[in-house]
Amino acid sequence: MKSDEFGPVVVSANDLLTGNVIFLTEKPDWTTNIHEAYVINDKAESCRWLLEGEVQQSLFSDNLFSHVVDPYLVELKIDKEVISFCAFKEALRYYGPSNYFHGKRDWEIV
Amino acid sequence: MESEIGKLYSYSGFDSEFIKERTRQFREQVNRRIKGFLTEEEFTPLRLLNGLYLQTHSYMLRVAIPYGVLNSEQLTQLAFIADQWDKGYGHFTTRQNIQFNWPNLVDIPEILDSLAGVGMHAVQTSGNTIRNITSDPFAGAAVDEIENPLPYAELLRQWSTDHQEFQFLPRKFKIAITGSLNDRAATRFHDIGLRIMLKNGQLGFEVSVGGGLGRTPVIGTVIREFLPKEDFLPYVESVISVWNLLGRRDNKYKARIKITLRELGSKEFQALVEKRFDEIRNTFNGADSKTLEDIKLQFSSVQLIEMPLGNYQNRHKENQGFRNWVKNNVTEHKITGYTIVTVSLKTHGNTPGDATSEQMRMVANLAKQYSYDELRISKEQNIVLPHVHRSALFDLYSMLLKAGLASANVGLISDIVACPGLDYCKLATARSIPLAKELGVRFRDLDLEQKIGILKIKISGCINACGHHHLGHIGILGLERAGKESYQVVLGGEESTETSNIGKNLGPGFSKTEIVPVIEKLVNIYLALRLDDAETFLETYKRVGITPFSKEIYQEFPRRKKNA
Ligand code: HEM
Ligand code: SF4
Repeated sequence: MKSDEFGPVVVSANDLLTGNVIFLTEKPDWTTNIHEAYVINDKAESCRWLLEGEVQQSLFSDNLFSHVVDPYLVELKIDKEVISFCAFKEALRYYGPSNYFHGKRDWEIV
Repeated sequence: MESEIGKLYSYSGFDSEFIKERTRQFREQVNRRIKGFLTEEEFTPLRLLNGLYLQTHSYMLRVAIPYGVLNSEQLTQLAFIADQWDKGYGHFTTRQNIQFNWPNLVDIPEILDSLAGVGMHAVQTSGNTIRNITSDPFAGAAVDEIENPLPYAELLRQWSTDHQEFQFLPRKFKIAITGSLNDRAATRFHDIGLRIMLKNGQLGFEVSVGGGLGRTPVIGTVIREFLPKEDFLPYVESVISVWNLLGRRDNKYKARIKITLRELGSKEFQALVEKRFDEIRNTFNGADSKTLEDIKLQFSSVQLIEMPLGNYQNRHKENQGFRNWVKNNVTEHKITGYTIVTVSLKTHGNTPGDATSEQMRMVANLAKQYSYDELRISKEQNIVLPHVHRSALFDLYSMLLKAGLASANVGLISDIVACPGLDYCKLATARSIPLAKELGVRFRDLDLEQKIGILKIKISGCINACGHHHLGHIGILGLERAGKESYQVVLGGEESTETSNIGKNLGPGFSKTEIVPVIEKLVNIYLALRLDDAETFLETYKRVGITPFSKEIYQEFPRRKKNA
């Protein structure tokens, strides 16, 4: 990404109970499916959504604590609606470890 | 005739009360976190006090295996935990611990309770405390042993557990202790390294300080050539308490004792330690020596029984697979007729150090049946059965074969040490496990392993060096370049005391697709250069230096000028 361009990015975090990788949706809610994540293309908007994620870290609703840890922005590449991750590290985080198939997702990245 | 060996120590009442109370507190803390009464910021140091990390995909619980020693009941319980709360396996580490990669937060107190049931815990396996004391996996059995170091390791464990002065050190602190001439505990690469020595008939310790790996690998400096054994604990305490005051709390990359030693100079540091030692020595009042004697008694003696060799010789003659396994995985024991068996957790193509719950139960049963109920975890991420009679070797081998645990590759090129790397670890910059798996398969397929002989490959997924890459004959360090995995190679690391060496950088790094062919090429260069079959990789490297290797490698894998 050039310095004057921004995005696309999504807000990601870990689930407090399982540690699972999750993404912020438009609702806003959290999903484990990147295709349901809210994709942001604007810097100011990304700050707002990251803040939304951070607020959710300590949100009580109906006595239910929002189970989210350490939200941050993850950069994506979207080519004809095919989503991929800019950093290998993020891809691996989404797809799961490459040494076992733990039922997370098919391991299809290089 | 019967011969005595030191046997497992059983934990004291203090330990179990302390652990129970800690788990009770942690259960409450987890509840408060889940209900939102504790923020993540508040909760993180509390979970780290109990060995719980939040990693890439899940939580990771690191369980202490004191000085790497387990009995079969404990290993069976670890298998139970793996089945009940994890994905049916565990990962044994270079620090002789076990890590569970997939527990849920709410289950951790249950897991801690079931560990406590067999005298185990996860206390001080993370955070800026004195970590699990590591030792020689052959302790009490090695031919070259001067004295069994385990009672001393246990004394250190008791003293350091919940030591009030040392709960908030400048940084983590690691102690290793060995009682043998051949150092199998890498003592020179620990914050404190202790080697039992015999001088004029008197028993004592050589004390080295400030060794370590990580981003700044350093070989420890000997600050006491010979410390009488009764001064052992006050001296160790003096070292830590001097560092505790001087250590750089302002910068975590400069906080380890190795940096304090470098900044202060070893002479000055040593003088401060001696001064502190003079102050506190008498306050111990010999209580430590008394405790040590108690521990030695409680390491209840086992009697190793003399037996005939049975059909060992015939089996050995007839069965090539068994012969290979004996050659590589079986070591002489100090008592005639007995052997030390290393069970390789490096089946070609598997994840180094991983064992399934079924394998754990199986090995636990074998230990009960054949090794006086004792097991050890080695820093090479293998399991050791320290007291197996030669007559039982073939039966043992046959059962390991059935369980997929009979790889005859200890010390060979596929006995690879690898940290969890990017597959699991949040700090990682590249994966280590897939490299280990690919290399294992590659050299099995080439059928070169036995021909190559002793060659230690060690892989870390970032500069923290948990996979000991600096100490590999071939070390591989995973880095990140422009969002992609990249690998640096170091050569010539070694970890025995007389000739400790930190590996030397071969040159610019390689991509994920290049790295396995690069290692294969390095091995071929060695095979072409070695004087005869007996000359090991390390010996050849020392004889010819790094240039013949780097020259040929970069001829075959040329780097672009920039960005290589
Ligand atoms: C997966 C979670 C882990 C984390 C977050 C972690 C973190 C670290 C860090 C930050 C260091 C550098 C310390 C320093 O230089 O001050 C380090 C060193 C080390 N770790 Fe790990 N580590 C992890 C797993 C492991 C595993 C699985 C092993 C064993 C296979 C291990 C063994 C070691 C060793 C031997 C060192 C170097 C010795 C030293 O100088 O302290 N660690 N670790
Ligand atoms: S070396 Fe790096 S990647 Fe490997 S376990 Fe240690 S911190 Fe994680």
